[in-house]
Amino acid sequence: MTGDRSEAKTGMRAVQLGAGVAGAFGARLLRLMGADVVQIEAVPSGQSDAGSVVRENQPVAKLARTRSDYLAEGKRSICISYGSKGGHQILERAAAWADCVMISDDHTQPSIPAEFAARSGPGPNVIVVVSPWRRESPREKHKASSAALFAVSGEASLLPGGLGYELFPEAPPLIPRGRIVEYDAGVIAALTCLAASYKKMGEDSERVVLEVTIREAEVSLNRWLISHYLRSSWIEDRSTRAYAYAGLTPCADGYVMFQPTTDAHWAGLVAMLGNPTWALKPDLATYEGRAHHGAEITRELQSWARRLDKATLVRLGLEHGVPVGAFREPREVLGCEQLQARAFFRDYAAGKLPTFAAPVPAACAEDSGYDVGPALLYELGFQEDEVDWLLRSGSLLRAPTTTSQPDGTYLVNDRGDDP
Amino acid sequence: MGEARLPQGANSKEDEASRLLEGVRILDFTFQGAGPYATMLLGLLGADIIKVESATRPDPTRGRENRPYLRSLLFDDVNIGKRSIALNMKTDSGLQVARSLAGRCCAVVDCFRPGVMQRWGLDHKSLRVEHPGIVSASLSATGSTGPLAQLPGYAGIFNAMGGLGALTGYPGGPPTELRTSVDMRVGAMFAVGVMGALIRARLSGHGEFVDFSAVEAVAMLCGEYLLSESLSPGSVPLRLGDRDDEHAPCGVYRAADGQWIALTILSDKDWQCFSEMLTADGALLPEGLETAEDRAAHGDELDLAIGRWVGRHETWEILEAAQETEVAAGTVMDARELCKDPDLTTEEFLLSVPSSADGRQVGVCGAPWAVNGTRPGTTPAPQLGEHTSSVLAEVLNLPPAQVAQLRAEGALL
Repeated sequence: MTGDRSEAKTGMRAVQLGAGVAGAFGARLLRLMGADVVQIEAVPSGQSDAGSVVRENQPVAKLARTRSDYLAEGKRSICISYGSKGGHQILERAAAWADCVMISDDHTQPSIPAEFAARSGPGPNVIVVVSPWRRESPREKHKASSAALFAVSGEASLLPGGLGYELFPEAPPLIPRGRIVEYDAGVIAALTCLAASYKKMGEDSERVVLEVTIREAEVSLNRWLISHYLRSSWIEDRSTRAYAYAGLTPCADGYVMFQPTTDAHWAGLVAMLGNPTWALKPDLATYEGRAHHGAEITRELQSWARRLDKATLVRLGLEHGVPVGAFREPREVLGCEQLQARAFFRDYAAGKLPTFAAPVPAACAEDSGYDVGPALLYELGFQEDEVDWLLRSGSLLRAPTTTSQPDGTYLVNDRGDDP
Repeated sequence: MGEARLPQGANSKEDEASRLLEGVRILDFTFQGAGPYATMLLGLLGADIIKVESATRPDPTRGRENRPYLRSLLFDDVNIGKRSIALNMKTDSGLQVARSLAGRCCAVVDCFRPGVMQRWGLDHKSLRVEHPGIVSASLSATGSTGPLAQLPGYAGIFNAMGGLGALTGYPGGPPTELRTSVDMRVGAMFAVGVMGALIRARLSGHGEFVDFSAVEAVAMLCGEYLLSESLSPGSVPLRLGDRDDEHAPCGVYRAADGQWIALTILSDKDWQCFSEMLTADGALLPEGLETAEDRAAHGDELDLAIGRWVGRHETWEILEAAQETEVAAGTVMDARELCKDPDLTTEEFLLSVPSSADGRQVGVCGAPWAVNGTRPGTTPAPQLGEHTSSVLAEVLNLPPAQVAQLRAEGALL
């Protein structure tokens, strides 16, 4: 079964709303789990040809639109002028069409979550609202960024630990690259949405409204910090956040990670090192003994590893049952034999896109998610004359060309007359 | 200990509506951090999680004190809401109990290295013969196939091999060790994989084997960089410190009182307000930086100017100014500060439950979600084998005499 990443269908129909990355990643996971996802991109009225906020990208790093392409994979998309009559109609039809709606409530369209939750008509059964902060908290109206959310969630106080802190003790705490905080919340949003959908498969109960807070999803990952403090008042920080021995280790062509935790791992590591005298001392036979001599072990290991490259160290680790992993740059992840053997990547336009880690759900439609035209409007329940009006009135516009879909998408603006 | 008085985590009637997975039973062979976090999340969603531990080799996060803290607290953190049975998997009757339990479950999950479940006859191929609808999900470092399938791994390895560690760090410095949180990230995504398979199994009547790789899960979190590198080799800059790909300035600065504060300018308009305020307060800023690209090009200058300004003010002044100018801001919070934050201590996100080790109350995080306005409650992490008899009676309908017989045979703890 491994490597079979063929398309799986659940029949679930999902709509993604809002400009936030968390909801977009959550909806991407729903797509990978077999849902049909329509991404509705709302452009503020009067900016109908400016492109949607969802497609703003990484101008600083000049990574042209790759985030939005990545997040939109396999989805269909329609872009509406929020507040326009045509846009409102499409939202209405989408709500009736969908089994579930994933809303990123980033305050750019504050009324959307409430409108959907209050609907009395058919669909959706499940609504997930992802917000940066808890509702009704003092921070509710504060603007949020990945860095700010990560900072208030605990882990920034620990980064970097180990070698990174030794080399840069005065540098500020580190924020992980990218939008990982929002991705983390997107995972929780997808999980809860799937669970609620599972429940709705078996019963005709009331609509389920799920609230996911990005900050709480992130704090939940650092739960051990909280429990240890509450129990013992013990606070770990960057200066103490180091492995007792080994850990991040420089080698001939980069860095590897050593995590020989158990006695069996240690025995494997000693054999891997060639049974040097220093490593055979009896007081290194237990974890406690090794921790006591951690600095010495780390020094010896670093000295040995500097002569070898990453591939050799990983191979030796595999042979001796020692947890060793190479720190891989993006090009190395792309070239990873293991990932390729498991068909983790598949062709996508001119690039490769990671499929999901589970074997079943991955391969989606070959498009990038920008294929919307009249067909989707029919599917949402519009009649032929209504679609004609949208087309003839010039209400459907092409969005700016993207890297992945030269044909572009369509925008529904608010310039057309009523049908 | 700690400042907050936390609500008790016990279930209440209000929780019923939030138990979305009521009726779903999962046999849980996971241990350490990632797998247990996955099943904990599924448990908080209402699934009945039966944690199976070896009577002779229980989950290693139980009780061992080899760190400056009680290691068992990690167990308490990620095993709330579960039941525990302790089986001796080296006995035929212990294995038979496990197989019988699997047959009464919707899913069987594990985090062994490939091959262990097969040896026990608990792999998907064996189970589906009699239980075609069952979902099997196995979490391993790199998945069950491929040249590195047998590579052992922990969170630090997943972080390194998935690409996240190399992207994060100071310019010119080493990659960054992201550790325990990576286990949880992997676990959460594993739970999504299990949940998707449960839905499809319910629809089709056919169970699936979810062969889950932790390294692949981490690579998913770096997907945009992998795509960018693939489209344009060499295009992804590595370690940028606290700079952002999208917004500028973005950094972490130290206030006069020593507190680190993350600040991000999210739009050109916000920069205009913020820079005017800084200039009025005496900061010297380069002119004409209207776009994020412009500002990123002057990143060092801006970091210096903002750093100086932040360094002249107390934390509360910075946060107040940030709010006025619509700058996204957050203080770098440690455990003590998290535990004092009313956003977390109210709304039943932090709960108090008895420890599995000694019964003393411990504070744990509950569910990071609410269902129709209600937070799920939970129960404490179980003691080893706490529910062995009750699970065998309830799930397998074994009479007390038969349970006693199994115990006498050494199949149970």
